[in-house]
Amino acid sequence: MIECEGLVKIYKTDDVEVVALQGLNFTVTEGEMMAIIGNSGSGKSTLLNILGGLDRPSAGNVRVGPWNLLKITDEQLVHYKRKTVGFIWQNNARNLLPYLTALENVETPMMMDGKIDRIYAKELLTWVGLEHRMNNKLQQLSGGEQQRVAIAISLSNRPSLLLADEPTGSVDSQTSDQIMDTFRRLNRELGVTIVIVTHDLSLAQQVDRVIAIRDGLTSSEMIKRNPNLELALSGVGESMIEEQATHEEYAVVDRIGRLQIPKAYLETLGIADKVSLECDGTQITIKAPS
Amino acid sequence: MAILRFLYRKMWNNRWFTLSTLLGLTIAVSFTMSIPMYSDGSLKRLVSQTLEQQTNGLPAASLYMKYQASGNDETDLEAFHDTDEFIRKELPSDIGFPSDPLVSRFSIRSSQIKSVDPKQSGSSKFRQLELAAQPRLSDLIEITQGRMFEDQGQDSKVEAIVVQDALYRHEIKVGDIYQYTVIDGDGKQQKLQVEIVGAYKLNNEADAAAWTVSGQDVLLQSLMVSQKTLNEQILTKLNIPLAAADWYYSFDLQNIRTSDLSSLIRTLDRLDITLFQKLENTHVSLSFLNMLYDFRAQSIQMQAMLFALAAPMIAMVFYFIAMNARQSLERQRTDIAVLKSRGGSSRQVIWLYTLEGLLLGGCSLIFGTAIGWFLAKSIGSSSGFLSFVGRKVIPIDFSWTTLLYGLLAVTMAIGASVIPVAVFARSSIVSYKRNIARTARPFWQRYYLDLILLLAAISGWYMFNSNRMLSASTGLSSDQLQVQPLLFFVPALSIFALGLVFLRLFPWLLILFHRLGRKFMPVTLHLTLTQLSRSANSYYPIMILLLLTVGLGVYNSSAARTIDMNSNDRTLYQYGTDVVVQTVWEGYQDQNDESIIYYTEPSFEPFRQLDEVEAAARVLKTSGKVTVSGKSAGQGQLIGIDNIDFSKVAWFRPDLYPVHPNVYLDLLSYYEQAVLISSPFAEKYQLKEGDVVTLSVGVEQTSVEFIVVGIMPYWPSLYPDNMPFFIANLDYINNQINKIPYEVWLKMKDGAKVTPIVEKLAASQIEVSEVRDVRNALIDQINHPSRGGVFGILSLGFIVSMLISLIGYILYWFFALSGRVVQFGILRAMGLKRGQLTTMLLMEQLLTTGLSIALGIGLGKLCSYIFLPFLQATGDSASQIPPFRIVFEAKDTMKLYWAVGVMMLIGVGLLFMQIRKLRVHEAVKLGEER
Repeated sequence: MIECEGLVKIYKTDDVEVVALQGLNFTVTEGEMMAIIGNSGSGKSTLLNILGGLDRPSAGNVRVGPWNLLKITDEQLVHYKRKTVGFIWQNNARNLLPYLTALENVETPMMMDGKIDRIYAKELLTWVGLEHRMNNKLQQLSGGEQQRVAIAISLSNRPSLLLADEPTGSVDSQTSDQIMDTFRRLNRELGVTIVIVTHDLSLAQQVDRVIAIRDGLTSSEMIKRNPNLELALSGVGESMIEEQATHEEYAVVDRIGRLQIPKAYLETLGIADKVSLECDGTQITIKAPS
Repeated sequence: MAILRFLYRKMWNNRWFTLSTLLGLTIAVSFTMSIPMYSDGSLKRLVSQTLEQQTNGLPAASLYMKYQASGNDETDLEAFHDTDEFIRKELPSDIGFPSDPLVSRFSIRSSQIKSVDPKQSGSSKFRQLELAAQPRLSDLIEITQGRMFEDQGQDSKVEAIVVQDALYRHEIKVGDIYQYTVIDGDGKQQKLQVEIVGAYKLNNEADAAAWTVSGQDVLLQSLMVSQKTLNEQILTKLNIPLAAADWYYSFDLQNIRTSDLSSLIRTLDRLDITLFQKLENTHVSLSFLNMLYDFRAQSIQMQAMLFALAAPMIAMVFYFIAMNARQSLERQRTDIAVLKSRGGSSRQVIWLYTLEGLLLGGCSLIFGTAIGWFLAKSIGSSSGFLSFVGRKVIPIDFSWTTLLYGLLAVTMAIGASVIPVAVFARSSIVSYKRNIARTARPFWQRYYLDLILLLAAISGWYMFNSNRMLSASTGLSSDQLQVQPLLFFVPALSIFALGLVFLRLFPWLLILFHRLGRKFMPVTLHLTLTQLSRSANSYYPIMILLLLTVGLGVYNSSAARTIDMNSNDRTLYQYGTDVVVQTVWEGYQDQNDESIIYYTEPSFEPFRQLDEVEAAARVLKTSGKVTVSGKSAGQGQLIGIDNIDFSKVAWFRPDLYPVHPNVYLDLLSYYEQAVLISSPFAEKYQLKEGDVVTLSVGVEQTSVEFIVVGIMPYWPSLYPDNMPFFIANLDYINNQINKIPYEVWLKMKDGAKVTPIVEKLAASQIEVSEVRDVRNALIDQINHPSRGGVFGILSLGFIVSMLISLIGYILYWFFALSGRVVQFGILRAMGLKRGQLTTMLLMEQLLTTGLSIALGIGLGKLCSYIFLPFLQATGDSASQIPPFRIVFEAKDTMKLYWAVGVMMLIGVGLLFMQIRKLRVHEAVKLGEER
């Protein structure tokens, strides 16, 4: 579904130049539900904006389905946003128009596309568990309910890709679970590819695959050891050890064979700028130069 | 449909902005439309006045076309009929105004007719008559003898009737047959037998002028035949050429509009060529083209003047709309970004806002037309600045051009709000958020527009200054009350430019102030100053609006008052008092010298006893030769008065004299021979109090000696630049010379009429030869359409600008505050008391609103002092006495302060409401955007 190669994004103001993404690589397959984690400023939101068609990459290669987001025209971008991608922001003000009811909010993206499918809109709201709140104005809804309306909105154009930026950032853990459940159901029942961006590791644990971004680069990838355990998990609150136990962390090797070594390792071994590599046929050993 | 519902939701959610945008649009539209409406109406008034004036003689809108054959050319009958047809049918519809029925007359070459009766053939009576036909003749005449002509005569025999008078003039009898010799198209002589079958008279002698094309004399020379006879028998069968044809229309232009003028002028201009092309030797010999040119020039001039006066105000209204639109858009930017990120294309977003603009524009056109109508009426009924009277009929006219102006206003306003949308629509939510982080200086600061505008204003001032020199040195006079539009435009520009320059300095001032007082400033003031100096940009729009409205309001009110006051002053000075009466004096001639007349003074008492009169005074006016210390000093005007009476009736403007005028009048009572002289004269001849001057006055040129007791620059009704004046005691003059008729000056009671005075005087055997009433002159001035227009526009502009700044202010603060709720929430959460928050906001208001209002008043006054003196260059330079004065009416200033006070109060009220409503948790929960 998503192929990202050497993605670079540079923000320029008059006197400052910030490289938010410096050659990011990753792939998401169709129907996958995965998470991207990283600290603030690591470039994860930038990545999501680019994937959502709200921002344009500076260089590199990004493909989402049939679209090449680097070369896409403005008109195609509109089309892309209408047909392919759904978006959920952390801040509801960016998701919703406060003066419309929940139902009207869901209908708005449909209106942009020209055809309003009220039945489907109601179905979506029912799906996120808001059938009794359909005609309420947004101010009358709680934060979690607003977030769920946002999910319904993002699905209104039947996207094949759903991007969620900190979808549980401003809600309590119970609501957060509800939202995550909804995502899982979406993924399973509709086959929607879902990419969640978060800084919350516990949230990331609930998906099959997690990519960690550091300083604008993919640093490591965690893959769930036993996918069947997923149902046994009871929300957040588990300790890091347990989380470590569910996922195996891998370092990422890029297309031309580069590897990012976690800073902690480097510090432990006192590696500065050179290492020595040894390969014995089954494994590669990295050593501090002697 | 969905988009409409969405739009409705959006508009409802932003209903205050929607409403104020609608209000602004409506004001703009109605104000713009009222001007052409008024000037169209005034044009009508002008037209009807002109038409009334020209009712003697031919009507004003007469169109007279004439065909005159040259030589004996054969008539091109086809062309002739074609032309006749064109004039009868096409022309009236081309001109498009109702007209009286066409009057036309066709004649062949005249002939000396001879009786066929041999008994009379010897008569030496010379009768030169012409055969003519006039369609519709039977409607206009009455047969008095014999019968009407029959259509068909025999080959060379025709039946004709003549006007009754012609029977006597030409010694013709009904029943006579005459021979009419005429040369036909082939050059052969044809002899026609004309039988006089009847005589007629006109139904209505009065409109003879209208229906006889070439005047009544022609009727006497005409043998009228039927048109059919003329056409078929004479012109066609006998091939006799047509000698002349006349067509006459009188149009009714009562309903003419400004917009009709151009096409009408084009039609008339072209008419001559069209006619000549159709039938050679056909011309328009009388048309009302010049009158139309006159109308057009006057209406264009008036419209231009009114628009120029209104331009700053209209610009301000547009500024208000733009500001409002911008603020409303800023609020909706997030919404736009949301729509964009959900797959809305730029085009959809722009269309959404255009649709909103169109909806509001449509509404405002409807309301605006109605309000514009009302405004135009108000313009017409203004009698001075901010005073409106119920004038009986103010013609207002609505034309498509008016609507065009309205549409233009709407289009501009929609453009003002849609263009920013187009810019916003390009940005998705990400780039929008990024932009928020940056603060750019407003474009006028970046490009130094304020300084450029200031330079423009200064060069405008320079131009006026050199112009005034010009008109003063050449003594060029212009039409009274023709206010130079630039005199309202340049000050507006100056206020604007100076305001911008100040705003450029504003943040620096704040920072300076902050630096100075940082140590001992309370926290609220500290916060205010920080807030203001950090986000000064966001206060600029409202500050500019207030500055401009208040400044313009002050300038316009003072300009209007000044024009008003000075033109009233001029008239009052010219008359000197309310009513000047000249009575008829009985007199008899000297037996030896015919030029000497001995008058008997009529009784003066009746004047004082009139109920309508408050006071009366005798004022003798005569001229004489002045001699100063034995040398002639030219002509002088001698005025004889009774000083106590005079002080009660005369109009003095106190600021013209160094001391109260009554002090001068009192001086006259010191000596019998006392005289007050004009200062230019005194200066020229180095005269001082106590000097002696001699005047030779009266028919006998009696020398009378006077002693100068006072020197004065002005005297009511006198112009010392034309002739020096000498004010003396009337009784003294009467003792020295034979009595000369004097004027009686009357000070009237309020609202008293002149007519009963004349009647009462007549009852007391006093005959009045002339009455001049200054109040009539003032009313005439007030009723002048362009003066009414000027005051109307200025008054309305003042009201409109006050209204706009009030609304603008309230809206601005209301929404600026609601946008800062998070900030307030945080401040409150940090422990700022409610009172402190209020103080902080009040401070902020004082420093922005208060400052810009104060500055507006200051700049307005400054511009008044700088620019208003130029107004006098537009008046007639000869009658620029009394000197010009610049007036600030306390009433107007009070109104201004009232409006401003109400504004501030409402603002403070809103603040309190907002702060009371403010709940910290809500503000914080609402988050960054809302």
